[in-house]
Amino acid sequence: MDKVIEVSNLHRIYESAAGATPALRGVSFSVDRSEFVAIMGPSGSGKSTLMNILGCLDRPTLGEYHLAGTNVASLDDNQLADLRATSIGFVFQNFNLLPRATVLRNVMLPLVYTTCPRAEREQRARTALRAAGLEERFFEHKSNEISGGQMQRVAIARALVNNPELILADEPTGNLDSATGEKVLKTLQVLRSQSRTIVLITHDEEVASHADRILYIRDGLLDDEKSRTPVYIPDGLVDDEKSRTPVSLGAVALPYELVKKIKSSGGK
Amino acid sequence: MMGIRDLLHETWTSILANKGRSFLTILGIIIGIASVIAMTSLVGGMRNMLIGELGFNQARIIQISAPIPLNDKDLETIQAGLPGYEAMAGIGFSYTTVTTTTEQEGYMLLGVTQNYFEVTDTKVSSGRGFTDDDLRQSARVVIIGRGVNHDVFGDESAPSIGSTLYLGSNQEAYTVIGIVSGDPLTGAYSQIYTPMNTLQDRITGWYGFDTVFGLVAEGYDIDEVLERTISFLAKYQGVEEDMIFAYSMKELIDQLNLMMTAFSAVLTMIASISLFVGGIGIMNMMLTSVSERTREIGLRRSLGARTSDITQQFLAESVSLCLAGGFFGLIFGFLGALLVAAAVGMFIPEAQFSAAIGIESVVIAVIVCVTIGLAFGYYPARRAAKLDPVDSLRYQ
Repeated sequence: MDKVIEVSNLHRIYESAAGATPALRGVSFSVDRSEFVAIMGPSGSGKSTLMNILGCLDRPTLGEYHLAGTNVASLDDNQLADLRATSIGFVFQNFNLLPRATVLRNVMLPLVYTTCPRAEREQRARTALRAAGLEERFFEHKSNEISGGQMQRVAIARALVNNPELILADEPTGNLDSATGEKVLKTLQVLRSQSRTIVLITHDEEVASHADRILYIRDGLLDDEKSRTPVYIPDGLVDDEKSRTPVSLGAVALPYELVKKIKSSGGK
Repeated sequence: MMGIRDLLHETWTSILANKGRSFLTILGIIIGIASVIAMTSLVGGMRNMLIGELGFNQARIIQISAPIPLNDKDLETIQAGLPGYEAMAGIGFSYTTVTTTTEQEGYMLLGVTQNYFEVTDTKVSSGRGFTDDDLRQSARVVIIGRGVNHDVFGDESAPSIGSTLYLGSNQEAYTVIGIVSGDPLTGAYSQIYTPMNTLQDRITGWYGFDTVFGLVAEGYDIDEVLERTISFLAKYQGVEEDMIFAYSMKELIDQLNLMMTAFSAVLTMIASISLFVGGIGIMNMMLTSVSERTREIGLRRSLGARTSDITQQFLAESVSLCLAGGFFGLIFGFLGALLVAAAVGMFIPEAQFSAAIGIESVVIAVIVCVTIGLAFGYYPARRAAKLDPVDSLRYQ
């Protein structure tokens, strides 16, 4: 199976005057193309740190991360920015839309940082907005003139517009009521059925249950016991086809002193 | 990488989003640029007035006085033996009184050769200059300065050509044939000109020029012609070189230019203080903007913006703000200079003063604005670019 994400022995240690705080302590997993994976865990478990690394916004202290075959560790800052522009789409809990810009301009924003010709941008934004399920009449509205659910659809459209390898959604329903949240999750499921690869970060089991697979993270480590395949129940019936077994969830925790030693020796 | 059109669009959108604050911020730049433009335009106008009134030929003129007064034949000999002169004109000085119905007033009376006005670039604004016949016949004709016209005939604008002027203690009648347009800063304003032969035959009885004006031909080095003239005349008259008094107006004009440039530089430096304060205002606004837009910066970074994109975006904003300030500053500066020039014209009508408004002011203003924008926008822009995307996205 073609892998979009391959993470191996990922460590992230925050160093400050108060000392070193390990946020990730050896996380390894992979995500196949067209898979919808939820990363779940309580507050402070390391899931946001993991998302930042998966989104190429942060670098691991140790370990390897391959995104669609590219070794992220070997890239410089500009290459990472280019990778974010072309291969990753973000959906944030608080939408992060430019409030005074129109819906269309918000969705076109990522294209500004790519080589996409100006003439094509609007068409691509409209296509992405339709795919995210936003009605056409809202396209010219300012983003602060629409509802929370519509805002999140705009954010999803913005994540889609570059046709990325990976969509990363961080608590996408966190600021929405349950009915609207459910619609947004359904949208993500529709996208997954259109062969999109989605990683969803959440602390909510109900939200995570919409994914093909749940990775449970606690104290910076993947919990194999809790990581599982949710039973998918559309329309009150268990869907055996979609209720799958988790792929490898290997995790090795190393003492900090050892990590430091490995780091200083360049991993040899 | 963000393209230039996207950069301009983003910049324009950001500035428009805070119209009021942007306008208040660029006030300092507006005032600074307006002051600099007004100052340089006025000083330039002053320089033009002074040099312009001296006449464009003045820079090429060598003024010569010899111990034995020169005459027409001497001038011909000098020009034949000394290449480098386009023309030579001679004058004789005297003093005369003009009698009107109410009073008698004293004026400088100059006897001049026919080509004097052309050589010295003295403009006969109305009437005519002297003819060969005037000289040959020692005609009783005069050309008067504007000031004389004003004193004798009252209204400067009234046509006094053809009027009679009574000169000297004998109150001999001379016909006014022309008026010279000099302003109060130049001698021409209050002088009376008569043909050289008239002065010699009818007034002084003294022959020979007091001073000769030599117009150096284009392409000749004035200082070199000056040196050759001194040595030629010393040999010609059989006297020591230091007995020949000759100097060029070029030195005077160079000094005047230098003085005006220094004056302009001092005024510009004073006006630049407001530009500096304006620049600090821009930096302050940009820092506030970076702080307010921290999440937006984080978002842009997450969407693929490089640090250079963020730097460029904030630099473009600060430069655009400065350019907008410069644009309005140029308009207000030029208007201010025109108003001051108009006020000078109103209170001192004789001074033909106008502000020197040139394209170089626009170029200088643009360069200054871009420099201020870059200098004062760089720190906020770098600060924005260096923000950590993860922290920026979490910023509340």
